[in-house]
Amino acid sequence: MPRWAERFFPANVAHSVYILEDSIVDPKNRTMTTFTWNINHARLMVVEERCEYRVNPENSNWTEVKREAWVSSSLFGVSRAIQEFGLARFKSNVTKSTKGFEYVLARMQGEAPSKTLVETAKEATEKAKETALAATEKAKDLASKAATKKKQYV
Amino acid sequence: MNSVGEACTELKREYDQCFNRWFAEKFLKGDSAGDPCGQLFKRYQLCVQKAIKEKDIPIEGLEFMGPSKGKTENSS
Repeated sequence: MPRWAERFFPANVAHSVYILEDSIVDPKNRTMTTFTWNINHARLMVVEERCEYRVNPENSNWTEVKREAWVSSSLFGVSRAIQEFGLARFKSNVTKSTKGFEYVLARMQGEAPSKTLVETAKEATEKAKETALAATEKAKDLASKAATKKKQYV
Repeated sequence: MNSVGEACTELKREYDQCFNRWFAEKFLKGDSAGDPCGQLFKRYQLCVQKAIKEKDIPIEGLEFMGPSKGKTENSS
């Protein structure tokens, strides 16, 4: 939880955040899909991440990753601020997680970290979209979806 | 990685080891018959279920692959 939010939600501070990951391995289509999201503090913020790993169609020695994330909050009045915070945090963390990923892969393959992943990640198209969900009542705070996408080559 | 329940970590390790072997040596080679790790899984699962209850982790109503459906329709 961000520092500035702790003041407003003291009840949430002490608790751990529990994360669930589901994954599907499809050996026929040679894909792996993971879906990860937090299952508590959900009213404050939910971050969902979906990763799809598949064989690159142009080079079967490469594995392609499509990473998508959705940030939402249903907290009255401050949902937009929380979502923007969550999205910004996700973007900065994805760089770190890519580095970690790369480190593990390099160790598994017994070689120095290849430049390819970092370079392609930098060049990769990154989009952030916010789509406001249709509001049924005017008083209801809008929940918005944010999606970031990254393509990486491993 | 440790289990969500401290007491389950050893059971998790045993199950993980069994699963990883089965996954790499059988499943990925197209042999999905048999369930060599079922017993280990059940023991581990019981332990985790107990831990989830003790820690009050909100698992009611959770759905496979996400809290809400219709996420896969693409926004690109």
